[in-house]
Amino acid sequence: MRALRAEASKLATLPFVWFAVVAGILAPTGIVVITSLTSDPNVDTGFAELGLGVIGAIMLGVVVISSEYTTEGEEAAGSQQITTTLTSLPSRPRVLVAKAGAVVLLTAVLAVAAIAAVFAVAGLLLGDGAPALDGHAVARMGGVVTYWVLMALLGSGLSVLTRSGVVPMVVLVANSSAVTVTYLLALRVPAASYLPDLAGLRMFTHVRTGVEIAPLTGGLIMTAWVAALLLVAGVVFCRRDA
Amino acid sequence: MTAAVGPPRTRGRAFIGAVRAEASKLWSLPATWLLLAATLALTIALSVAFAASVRSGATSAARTLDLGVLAVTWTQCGFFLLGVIAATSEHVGGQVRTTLVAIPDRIAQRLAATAALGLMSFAAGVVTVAVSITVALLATGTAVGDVGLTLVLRLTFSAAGYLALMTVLSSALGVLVRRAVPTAAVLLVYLLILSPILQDQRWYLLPDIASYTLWFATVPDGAPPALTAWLVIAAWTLVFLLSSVVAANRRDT
Repeated sequence: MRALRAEASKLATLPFVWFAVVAGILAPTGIVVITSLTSDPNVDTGFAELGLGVIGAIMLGVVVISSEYTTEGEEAAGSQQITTTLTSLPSRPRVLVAKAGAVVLLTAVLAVAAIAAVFAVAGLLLGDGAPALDGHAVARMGGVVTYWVLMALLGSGLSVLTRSGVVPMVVLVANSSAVTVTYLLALRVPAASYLPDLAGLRMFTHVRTGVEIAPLTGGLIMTAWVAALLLVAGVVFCRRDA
Repeated sequence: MTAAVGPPRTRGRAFIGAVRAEASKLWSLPATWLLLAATLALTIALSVAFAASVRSGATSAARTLDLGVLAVTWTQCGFFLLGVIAATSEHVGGQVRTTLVAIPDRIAQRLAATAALGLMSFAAGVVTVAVSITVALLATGTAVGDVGLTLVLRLTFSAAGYLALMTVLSSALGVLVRRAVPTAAVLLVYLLILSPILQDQRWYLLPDIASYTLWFATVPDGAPPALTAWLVIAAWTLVFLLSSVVAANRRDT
């Protein structure tokens, strides 16, 4: 519990987290403004934009690990924060669990804030055309929160393996925003529909790749991927030097 | 006994030496080569994909050239990352202190690093764009003669010049922020989210949107003349570069 509080406070006091929060809330809200003003609302209005806003969650997940491996130059003699972290909490599984917990907490809060912002704006701009906030929509919003949390954990797991944040962040952010490589792959190779982000998107959007996956199944597939990755990351982290 | 006296060490010679030193630092950074190789590989893959998607219909020579350069509009983020890594690797492990001992004149050091990076990224840009266009031409079965060699050269060198300037801009931002992940995040959000949205709005005062009028064969009607586009790109680069040089000169490290 103390470890979780420590990791959460470390994550919350990182300057970069502000940028991740802004990206996670402003990006989908901005895009929903543009789509509301330029096109007709469809069944995925609001939710598709939240699928793009996951970049904020990815940044949170990546920075929680990459900030540990940032080499402090200068006065700290080139050391890394991971040394201090492991000195204060030698149990490596507990470090990872605490970090994962901190990521889950902050990403969930960010996701809820982003959902609120997006649907408030969509409701304002679209009026009657806005998506109805019924039980089905709330279930989809739960899917959004789950997706954001799992993508953040995916970023964390990859960052543990690479010990640097740049490559996992670039790959995941590019895949979630500009060129969805996994989606293009799934159009050619049906098995690619079972990749984590595509499976997870089923939880709240109507993405079509030729393979039908139910929302709950998609969530379970994505959870399985992330759990496996975190397991591998945990084993690697516990065995290597730092 | 007299020591061998070489040519007098002028500021110019010192600067050239600094550029050579910075270039060798870039050269020997594995991340540089990995990034450039990945950018080239991705460019080839995207070029093939884009060319394949239109093989069915007959397209004009200009459109084929556009397809050839289209891949680079996405993989240009590799060049942005090159600038970020080149700048932020100085601050890993305090290498910046050794650098400043060797080159105490901070303005000269920043300018030398910028020159080395600019030259390297220009060369890499020429290679990447040339390969991208070649792949597109080969995939669609168009000969260079059909599209005009001068046009291809103009597009290649314009794109490479733009990529070099953007690499310099990214490295300047890296010097300002000094952390790789936040710098990369800012540039990615701009390039992958803001820029595609604003492209429809034709905001030619943004560097990458202005640059598209320079290295695409077909140019939209409302586009500014080439000189204006270059001025926009140069202005953005200069603003970031000057801020980074001032910051590097005034800060501790």
